[in-house]
Amino acid sequence: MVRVFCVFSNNPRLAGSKQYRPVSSQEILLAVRDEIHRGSSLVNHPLYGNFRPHQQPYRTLVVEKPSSPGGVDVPSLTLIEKALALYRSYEGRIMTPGILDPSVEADYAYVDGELVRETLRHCHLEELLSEGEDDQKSRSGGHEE
Amino acid sequence: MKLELHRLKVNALAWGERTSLVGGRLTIDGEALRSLLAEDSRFRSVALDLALPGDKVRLIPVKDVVEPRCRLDGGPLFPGFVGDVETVDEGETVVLEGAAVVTCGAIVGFQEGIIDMTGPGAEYTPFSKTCNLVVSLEPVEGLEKHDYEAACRLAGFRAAHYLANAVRGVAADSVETVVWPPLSEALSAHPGLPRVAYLYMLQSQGLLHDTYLYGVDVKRILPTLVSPTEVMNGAIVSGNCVSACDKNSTYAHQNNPVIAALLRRHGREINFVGCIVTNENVTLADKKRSSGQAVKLARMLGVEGLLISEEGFGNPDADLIMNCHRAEAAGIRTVLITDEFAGSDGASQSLADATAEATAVVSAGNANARIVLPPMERVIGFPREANVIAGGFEGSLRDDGSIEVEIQAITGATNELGLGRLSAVTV
Repeated sequence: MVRVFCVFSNNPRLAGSKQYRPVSSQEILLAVRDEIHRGSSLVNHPLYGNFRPHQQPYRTLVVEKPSSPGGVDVPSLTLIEKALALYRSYEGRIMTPGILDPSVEADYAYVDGELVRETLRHCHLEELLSEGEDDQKSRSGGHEE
Repeated sequence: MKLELHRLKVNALAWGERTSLVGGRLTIDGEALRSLLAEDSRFRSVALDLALPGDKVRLIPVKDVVEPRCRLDGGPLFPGFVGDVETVDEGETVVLEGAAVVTCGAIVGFQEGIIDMTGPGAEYTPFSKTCNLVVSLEPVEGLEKHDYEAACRLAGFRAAHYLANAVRGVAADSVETVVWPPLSEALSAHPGLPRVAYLYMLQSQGLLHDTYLYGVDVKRILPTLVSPTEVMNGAIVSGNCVSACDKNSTYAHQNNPVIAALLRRHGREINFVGCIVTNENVTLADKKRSSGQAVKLARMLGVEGLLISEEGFGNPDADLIMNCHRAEAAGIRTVLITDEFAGSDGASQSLADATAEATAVVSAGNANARIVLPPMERVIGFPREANVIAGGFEGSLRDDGSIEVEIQAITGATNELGLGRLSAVTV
């Protein structure tokens, strides 16, 4: 069985992923929530360790597409809704890309990429991750849709 | 297993021509140490400073804090980093109690911390009470961040070993002995007392959010059983560049207060049978696997109680709650130690996850509490980082040199091993 994954990100380091969009981190979570309602399940946890929602402008989430049409994955839905509830408590303070000093923003993009590296490796998609904003080539090695 | 900690008290630091310890005063040959650390070609510059309790000094951005230690025979004690990877569950160890090596470097600036040696900020960090050798490290141009982190980590251990090794011939002020029995004896000891284990959660989310056990990145381990003596003797070290308030510095691992408290109550109130080390990984599959294995080990030990400490916040809350839920479902009572991100007024939800079984929770404090740190006479490190440090915000650094931050920015302020200075009060 071929497992198919989908990478949702607003991080320029993942500009090669098909679901890359330069939006807020909260909008990435919302897009993933919709995808979960279409039957996908979360691969990584929707919250960061050690960043609060308004502190980190970037977010990358990986979902696995359903192998066959079925219901909604309730644990994934619960996790994403709990995370969105936390994001809503920071309403108006959520960081969007382009606000911070570029060097600080580059650090945040770097860390987001490194924190998702393990997940991408798990999905054989590590090659999607570029080293920085100067290297945005898409080199998909796994199965991404 | 028998571990002896030969404690040499340090209550003052000074520069001198030869590193020595006389009457609690640790004199450091700064040039010899600086040359040793500068051997690492990844550094463009290595600067050493002293910061003592009461000094009007601010350290920023702090990466790690390490207690100077070595074997009594001079061997190093950071297995997998300085010296061999031999097991450290027993032996004789020299401890420079009251001294600390503090590493500073702007690896990813927003992830590091602040230590004030005096004033209101000093009340929030345990490292305002230690005599600190501060090692400020700048990388050569173009050095990758993870290489910079690895170099800083190693420099802290090398400096800590250098100091202890240089004075190890001095007679100890006290010797603490911990004898740890084989499992077969431990499990049947103290009949009638509840059997308790410690589930020690370690940050392992990815590059710059890492912890090492015998030099192994703990994101790669299955939960495993370790002796308290190994933890006390340097088996676990920090590679963390995460939120300063609740990351476990290497010093916090070396002096884990949870283990110390369990040992104090061992044989009187509880039968403490060991530590289970587990990780806090990013993928949900890893979280489930580690939680399942950790609780399985607790079941194999047949414990009635499990003390669980978290490191960090956010998605590790999910690991904490999963560990609690699974242990309780297996009939093991749990006590959790965490900290809170409950908003500046303390009114918001404290954790990102919850379960009905989490009925015994110890809080190490609310990291969102705000504080104004007054200007200091001297800043060691890079003060501009205050604007971008986690817990700070644009404008945090004021023109007069004061800083308004959340206590999240203060190193060790809400340490989830209890190595902090906050406690509950009855009002």
